Amino acid sequence: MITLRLRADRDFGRVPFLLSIASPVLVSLVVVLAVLSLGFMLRGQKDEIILVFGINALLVVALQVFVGSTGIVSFGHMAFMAIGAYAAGIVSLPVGLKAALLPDLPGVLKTIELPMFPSLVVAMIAAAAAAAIIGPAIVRLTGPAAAVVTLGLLVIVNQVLRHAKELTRGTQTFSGVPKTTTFAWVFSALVLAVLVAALFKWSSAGLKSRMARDDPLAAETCGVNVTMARLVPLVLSAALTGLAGGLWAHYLTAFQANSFYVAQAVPVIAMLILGGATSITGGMLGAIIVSTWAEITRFLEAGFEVGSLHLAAPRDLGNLTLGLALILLVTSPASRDHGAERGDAEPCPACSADWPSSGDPELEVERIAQALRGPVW
Amino acid sequence: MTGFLQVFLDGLSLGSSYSLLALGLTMVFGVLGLVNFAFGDMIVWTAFLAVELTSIGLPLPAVIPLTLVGSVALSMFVGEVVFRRVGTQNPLSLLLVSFGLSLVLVALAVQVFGELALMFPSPTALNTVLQVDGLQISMLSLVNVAVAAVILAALFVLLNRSRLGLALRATAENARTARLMAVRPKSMVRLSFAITGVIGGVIALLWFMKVGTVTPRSGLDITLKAFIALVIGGLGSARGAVAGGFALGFAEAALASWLPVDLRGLQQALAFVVVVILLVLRPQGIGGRLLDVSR
Repeated sequence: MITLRLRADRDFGRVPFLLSIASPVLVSLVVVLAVLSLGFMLRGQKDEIILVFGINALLVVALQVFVGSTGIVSFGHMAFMAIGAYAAGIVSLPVGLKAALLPDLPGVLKTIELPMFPSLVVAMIAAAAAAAIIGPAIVRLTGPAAAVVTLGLLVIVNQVLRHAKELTRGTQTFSGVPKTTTFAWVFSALVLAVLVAALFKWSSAGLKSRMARDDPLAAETCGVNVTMARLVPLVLSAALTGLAGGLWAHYLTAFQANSFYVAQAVPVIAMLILGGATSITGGMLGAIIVSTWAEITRFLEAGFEVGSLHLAAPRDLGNLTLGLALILLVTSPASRDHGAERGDAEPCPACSADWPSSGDPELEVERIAQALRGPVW
Repeated sequence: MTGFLQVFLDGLSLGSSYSLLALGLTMVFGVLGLVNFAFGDMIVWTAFLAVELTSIGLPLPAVIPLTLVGSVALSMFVGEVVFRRVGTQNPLSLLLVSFGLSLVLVALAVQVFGELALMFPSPTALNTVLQVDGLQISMLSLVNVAVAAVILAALFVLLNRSRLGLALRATAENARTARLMAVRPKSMVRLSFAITGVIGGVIALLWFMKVGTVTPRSGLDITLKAFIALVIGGLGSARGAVAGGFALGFAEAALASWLPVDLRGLQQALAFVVVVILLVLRPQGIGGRLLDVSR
């Protein structure tokens, strides 16, 4: 007879639940206020940078929903961003421009011209739908194999976008999207995303996901559907990433398929790992650090004058330092036990203590066998 | 019939490159649990070494062994300095470290060699194309297949017919038990990085002789191919790696000649679609066994 018990990383009841959610949401509000007052102090000189930071922070929070609750590192989330950007672009492009730029649009897409909000909703739905279709393939795998397949997803989406000429203009630049992304849109989206991420993390579904992440066997034994426990965060995370893509499209107004590829995924992954993949607050912190550092390195790479000397840092300094930071962070003794999840102080939800449910938590297990792996060759 | 034979030959040549790539990755995965994102970039650095050696006037017979030595040295250095510090069987951390390493290698290569493509030394004898009964075979692909066959055979003998190979397999199977049998995991990790280094060096030469030029960013394409082949074959299985490599090679050759012209650009996407379908049906790959999730 084996007794299995679950433990949540919060107490049960409405108040502890709200408290758990309150902390990341409050942090996000503080971040937004700090960033906006910084923008105010700079008198609009660095507006672009602040807006881009907001979208990056949104991307990190979205990625955290998936990585934090499944333990699968996704290199492919840029695919969802691309889908969101193109979806928002296609539905909001002025009808007049559509006739010139995308004459072969199918059916109703040719005649609609949606305002900002509905186009963002379309972006979220499109990305979530893509995730729901491709998801079952990703979530059946674990560890490195899953990461490889997310990379494959990015390659597939990239090539398909470059070939779906009727929808995306192929390799040509997709342009003419109304420039409607403002501070208000970006930062309210960020706060909303943090709220959704926190609600999910501490909900029963989120708890199941994190349990499946820590110990799939135990989770399955407790009746958690491991596939669904990974699929739900994937779809949610894809929807939020699609939202970021839509905002990005309305900010850039012109983009192409290669604006969403491996190189663009690098800083977002670095932000997440730096902040700690299991923490929403950490993700925002990572976004702040990496964005600030990116500005500093850009300044250094451009070079500056010291007296009569022109000093310039080496090209690609940003990526070089990000790479080194990743290596040092993961190989540092402190993070060795936790693997990639630095700052992971939360206990494994799938252990000891009591699950306050009605009925017996007992379980009888028979005929357990373990298969051993054979030799490599 | 000729068309079919041509596809077969092309697939054989592509497949032997991809098999070697996947084998290089799987050797280290078996012992350390590392899926090396930086594998392609290490191969690019090796290729740059060959370019530099040629540019100082060394003949090809001298460049080849020196390149191989350089590749092994690089691989063992990286293994020792970067990956061993993470500790074994921590695949996620190892993957992230290799991702970081990839960024560093690309950034350094841009710094040292610049963004422009450099000509890769490629002897004219290898670029001749033989015409037999309407079939086209380049000398290079023949060499490619032959070299791959030699390496596969050598690896098979090393792994299955030698004490060293037995020790390596034992470590991959269960490092703790192997240790009780007086096999030092440390030396096995070194050995696997050395083998990967040899394979990486060979690929650097063959791959870039075919492509003709090297840029600091050529590595991603190589890494992607290696990953696809590896996942098709199943992580951690040498046989699977070879099977996965050839499966990818034949699939690409077939797609390249039978796909309608306007879909040609989707080759890599279709290859990945095949991978996805395969993984849904058989998550452990062709040759892999199911990993026990509890570990």
